Amino acid sequence: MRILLIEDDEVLGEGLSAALALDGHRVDWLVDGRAACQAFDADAFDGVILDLALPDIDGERILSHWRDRGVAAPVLVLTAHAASRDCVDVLNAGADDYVAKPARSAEIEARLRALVRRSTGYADERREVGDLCMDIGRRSVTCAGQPVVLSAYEFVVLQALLDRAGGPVPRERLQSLLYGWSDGPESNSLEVLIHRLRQKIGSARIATVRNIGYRVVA
Amino acid sequence: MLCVAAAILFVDARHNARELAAMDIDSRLQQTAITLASASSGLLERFQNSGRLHDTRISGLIVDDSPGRSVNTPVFALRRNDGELVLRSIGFPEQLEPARPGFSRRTLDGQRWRIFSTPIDTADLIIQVAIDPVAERNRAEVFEKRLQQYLFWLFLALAIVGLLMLWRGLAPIRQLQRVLGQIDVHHPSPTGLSPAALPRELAGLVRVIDALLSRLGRVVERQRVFAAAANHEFRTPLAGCQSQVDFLRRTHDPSHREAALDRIDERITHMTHLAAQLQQLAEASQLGIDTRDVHLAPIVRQVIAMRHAQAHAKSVSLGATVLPDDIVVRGEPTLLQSLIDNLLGNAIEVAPMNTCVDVQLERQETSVWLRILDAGPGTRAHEERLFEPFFRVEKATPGTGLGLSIVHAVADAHGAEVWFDNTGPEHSVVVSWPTDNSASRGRGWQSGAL
Repeated sequence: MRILLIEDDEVLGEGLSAALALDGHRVDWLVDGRAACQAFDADAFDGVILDLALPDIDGERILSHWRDRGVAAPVLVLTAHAASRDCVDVLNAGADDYVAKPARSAEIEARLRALVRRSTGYADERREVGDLCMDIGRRSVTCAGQPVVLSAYEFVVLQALLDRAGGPVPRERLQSLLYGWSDGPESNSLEVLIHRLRQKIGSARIATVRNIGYRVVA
Repeated sequence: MLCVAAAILFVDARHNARELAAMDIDSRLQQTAITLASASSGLLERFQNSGRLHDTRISGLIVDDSPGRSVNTPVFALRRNDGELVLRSIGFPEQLEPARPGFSRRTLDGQRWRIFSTPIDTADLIIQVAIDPVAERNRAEVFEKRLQQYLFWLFLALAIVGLLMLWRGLAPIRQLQRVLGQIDVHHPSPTGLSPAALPRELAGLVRVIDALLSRLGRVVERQRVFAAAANHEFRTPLAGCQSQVDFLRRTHDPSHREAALDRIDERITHMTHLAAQLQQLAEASQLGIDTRDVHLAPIVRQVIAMRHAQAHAKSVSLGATVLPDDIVVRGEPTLLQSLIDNLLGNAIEVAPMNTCVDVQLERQETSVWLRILDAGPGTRAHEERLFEPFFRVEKATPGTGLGLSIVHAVADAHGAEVWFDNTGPEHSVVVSWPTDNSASRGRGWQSGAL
């Protein structure tokens, strides 16, 4: 997933970004509320983690600004105010869910993943195209009943292809999911990743859509 | 009170009943004597004609001698003026001696007889009418019983009316009790009763209770806001620690692990500082502090020495231009040090680089002033909120947001005042201790800090 994280606390933002990156997500982290307001002007995100107590603009105002402009991306609010009254206000302002600080990164990731799943119309964490199956929650893939071991990057690319259930996925979309991954031993070249995926699940299962991108074949 | 009154009235009624009975007996004796006197002339003639005038006993003349004769019936006798008994009715004691005219008492066989004697004008005779002492007692008992019955019903009626009036009179107190019972201890608010609609004595009480509840409500609200703010202030650094720990568990990169540990350490230091400041605030806000004479100059020097490194790091010149050694205030040294340290830390924080922060200790007419001057931007905006716990002019301002709350609480506990002075070319903060020792008793619990 491509996640927008808005958190002014340096330690929390850094830790959460790193933990989410380990889960295979691309995280764009902003500490400034004004920049957050403009975040959707030029980019698209699968989900947002929003801290309410920002130094310049209140998180609720950012949320209202997005919703007024038709931003439909699911928003998970991080709040240090655990009172139910505050949470009701946040949900009324357009948030999809909230998590009270402190929370484990795994819980934050799972909640956001559930929000994104519902927003894309999937009922569960399973994706199937033919005999190719993926369980996102368990981070497992099977091909014709046989388990396939994938790297984090390969998993992200395959998930993006399976999310479209056989439909073409633009190269830009796939590259945006990988952008910024400079650490780790592997190359982040999309072509290299597609090549490795074809080796592991069969070259015929990922077809190239000329001038557009790739799609999974059943 | 009602019982005592009843007992007094009961005794009085008993006394009155006896007097009434005596008067009634006397009246009956007198009536009988008058009746006998008017009827006696014909009777005497008959007896004189029959020659029986000297009989000592005339049976059946007035009353019979049956065993059922009532003791309540008067008996009589006729005597000559010289006392000789002419005749007597049945029941009249023969041994009863003559008596002078009018009412008298004669004791016979231990019984005190009541006698009324009156002369008959038409004859040389005296009529004596007497009544058995038992009759007098019986009569008294009858009156007593009647009066007691009247008194019983009167008291019953009075008690019922009194209780009803008492019940009605206590209605406002019951209303107050009901209202007080319904007050939410977590959100205390005034009773809502209108003093004008209450009895004067209760109106005063309700005013006092309302004032107390209002004050309690403000304290509870302040504590609630403070607790929520303190909770908030801890949650964010805790969340930061949590995220770093989550990352630490999963990454194997040594440099990432080291960085995460540094971040956790940084946050733990921040929370430790926050906890220490909360502790200081709680101590300053506690009910009463132990004060003694404290020399301010050594404390100021010590704090300046402690803050020297911070000032040096910002190229801020830190010193004290006026610092007389003989200025003494009543106070608690640790809290006073905390007050000066927080103010000095703030001044260094806001002072631009290459400027001065100066401490001055001055003796005024009725007070002692500690003034800290800096070349910072001042506090014209938000001045009324600066002492609130966790309030920061800029959200991004470093620190816990408790420093000025601690200053305010400590000053309040010492009966001192603290204010910002933006009138001069330099911005300054002033703490003023009254030199009157009586004002230096701790009153931290009234502070607005918590």
